[in-house]
Amino acid sequence: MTAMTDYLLMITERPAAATRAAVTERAATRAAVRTHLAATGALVDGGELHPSAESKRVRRTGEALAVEAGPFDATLESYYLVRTPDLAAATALAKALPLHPDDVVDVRPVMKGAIKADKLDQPGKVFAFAVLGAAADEPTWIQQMDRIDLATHDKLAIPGGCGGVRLEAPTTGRRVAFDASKARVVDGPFLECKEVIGGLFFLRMPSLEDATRWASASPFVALGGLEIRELWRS
Amino acid sequence: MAELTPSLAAVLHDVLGRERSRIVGALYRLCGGLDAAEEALQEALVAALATWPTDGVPDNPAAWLTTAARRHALDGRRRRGVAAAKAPMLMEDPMAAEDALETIHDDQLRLIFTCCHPALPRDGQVALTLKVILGFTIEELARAFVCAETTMAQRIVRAKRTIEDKQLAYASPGWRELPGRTTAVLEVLYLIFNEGHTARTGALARLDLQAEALRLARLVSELLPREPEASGLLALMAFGVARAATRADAEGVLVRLEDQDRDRWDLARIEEGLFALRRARTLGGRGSYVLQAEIAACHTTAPTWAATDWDAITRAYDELLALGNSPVVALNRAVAISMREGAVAGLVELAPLAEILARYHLFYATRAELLRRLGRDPRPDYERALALTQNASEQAFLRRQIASLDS
Repeated sequence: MTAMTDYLLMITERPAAATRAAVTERAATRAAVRTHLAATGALVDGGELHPSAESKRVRRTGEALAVEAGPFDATLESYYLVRTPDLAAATALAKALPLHPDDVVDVRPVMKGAIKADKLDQPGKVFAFAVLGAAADEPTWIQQMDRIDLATHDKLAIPGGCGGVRLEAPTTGRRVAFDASKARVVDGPFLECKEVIGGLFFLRMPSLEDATRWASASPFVALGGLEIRELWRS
Repeated sequence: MAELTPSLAAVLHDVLGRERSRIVGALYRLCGGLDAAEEALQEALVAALATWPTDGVPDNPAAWLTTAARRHALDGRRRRGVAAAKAPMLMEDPMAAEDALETIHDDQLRLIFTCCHPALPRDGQVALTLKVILGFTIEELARAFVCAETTMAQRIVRAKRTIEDKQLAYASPGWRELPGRTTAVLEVLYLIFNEGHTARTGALARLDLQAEALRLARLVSELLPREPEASGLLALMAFGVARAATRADAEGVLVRLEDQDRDRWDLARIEEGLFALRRARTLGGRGSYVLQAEIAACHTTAPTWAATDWDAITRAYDELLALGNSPVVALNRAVAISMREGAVAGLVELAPLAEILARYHLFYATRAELLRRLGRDPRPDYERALALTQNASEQAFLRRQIASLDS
């Protein structure tokens, strides 16, 4: 028996589709990705997020609370939690996805946690919260995530909680970039953006406003930042 | 203070647009009656207009309004004294700052199910839904449905009285599972949407009614996430709204689907429709709304009218006909057949419908088009269609078609 590990495949959001043909094609691609992963038997949970243009980022700079409206660069379009023997197998899954040139998939090992797969079968809206950390280097980023973890590890058992995962550091993962000929693996990903995702969790909330209010008062924002995205029912 | 008023109005409009069903739903549970709930909200709005200009807009305006309205509702109950015993739905401390998620969803669903109760007449369901859940005024409703304000007011009063007399309030356990509830709600939303789609008189599309129906469909599909027909209806409406702006030209004359400027269709609504349709498919739905959404999806994603997937559309119409033999569905199927196999095949499909659709203007308008494609005289059919429709936008279109025959 091989020990299995969970990996989070994160497809990077593409620019807003500008034509009807592009919207149609993207919808078909999303459905194909889900079907493809489900057929591999490795898919544990997956979801697609409303455009980041409809989302908020909340962070605290000193004493001041900053709520920024999207769109955001290099953020999530969809996530897929897969269970495979190792990183190579998870990366192979990412490379085999029916995606297009310029698509990017980040593969990151899950440190801990689980996501409720039936969250969209309950009434109401479900929001994805991406935990963001900003640091000059990876050790500092890990310390920041540890602090957030310590302050929040018992805080997600709230009403409407649908689980979540904490991710390992960026250098433990792989980035798969698609170009015209094939999918190739890029080293990294690195801390190239000013904010890097360290976890993903889900809450059922009546509205984006409620979600933003909840986030603003949470330790996630006191110690780092959150991006709040509604999940499509699909 | 004078310059604060417009932005305050905008804040209230925005909050009510998003949160009205949640606030009124909670008040309905608390007050036990629709009138009392609406009254309490009005009082809260008056209080907001009085205090927000000086105190500032609260952090959570919806919660502020709910708390203020609850206070008024409670005062009202105290004043009425004995009457309070008649309000059976007071279940918890009305001053609780925030309701639990499940309570919010229950409140909204109870409100919607009550307004769309199958025991109410159809016009009462529609009027109540628009007034109580969406906050339309009597005046707006009378204008939208082309009737006197007194008629509309009576319609609302009668519907509310029926709810009270028959105790349709669903206070008892298990109210969610009552059969036929969901069907009735979806029918009311469909009716509101179609009222916005093709007005019986006047301008072709009432975009606001369509947008409101879409908003309600979103809410209902969120509250009933495992109901494929709710997702199907949401998809159908999203595709409809996506195309709404192109259904009439600058002069208000109808533009047929085949002539619409597809580059102007709303991409965000198309995306929403495609997600909702995928949800309906995932749930395994093949009901009437899902099938209509499938057809709308074919049209909305087709590159051109000619390059539309007429096979898929014909198959969906076949499934729709199998659900219940509707002559209007058969008419639309005939159009798909005419695109797939030619105008003669379309006319063959139309022939058996001539009697049953003898008073339906679109039958003649459709037959006129097919005759025209075959080089035969479409004038008598255009003229019959013109005589049968009261819709100004359609009339203008048909007159244009007739005029084009002369040139």
